[in-house]
Amino acid sequence: MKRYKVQVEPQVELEFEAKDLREAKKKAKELKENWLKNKPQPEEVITVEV
Amino acid sequence: MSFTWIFQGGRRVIKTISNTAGNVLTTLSPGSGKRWLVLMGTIRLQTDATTADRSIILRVKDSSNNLLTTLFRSDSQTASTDSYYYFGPTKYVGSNMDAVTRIAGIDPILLDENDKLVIEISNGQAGDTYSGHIVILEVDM
Repeated sequence: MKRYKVQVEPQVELEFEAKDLREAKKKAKELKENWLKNKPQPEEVITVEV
Repeated sequence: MSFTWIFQGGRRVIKTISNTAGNVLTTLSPGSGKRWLVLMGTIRLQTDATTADRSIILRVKDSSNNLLTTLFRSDSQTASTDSYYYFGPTKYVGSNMDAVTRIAGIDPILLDENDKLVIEISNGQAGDTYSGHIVILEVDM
């Protein structure tokens, strides 16, 4: 296994293991998609007037 | 000729760590022309059912990957658990507070443009997930 890295946004890289470049490219794509999809969002709180 | 308007005081930025598998390292770096003062942060680690003792390690490295310091290494976290870890300029760590709330007291750390803040889960599994927020002061050089 070799170590690879992918930039998922400016200033952030993820480092991971893969057996070859082909697998690394596939993983890198998944990691980037997951990173963008799973960003924690602030809990929405709605102010109500009474 | 162009001018760049620089606010010397910098700006407060919250960097978000998206849900990331436990066997993947996250590296944050200011990038060209910027410096960071790392102020505080929270990391949440959710572990899968795999038997292993995980711990979160927060390291600072230079551009050549030389280890400059380790800011903290958490206690072991076992399988199928969900914990939050906090770090910041906390000077008081009470006898119960440390174990219950998992606070690491660190002073603000200066990162130069190519320095790196590296988050690693020791014994992290593919089914583990970590996420969090890190508060920094970003200053243009």
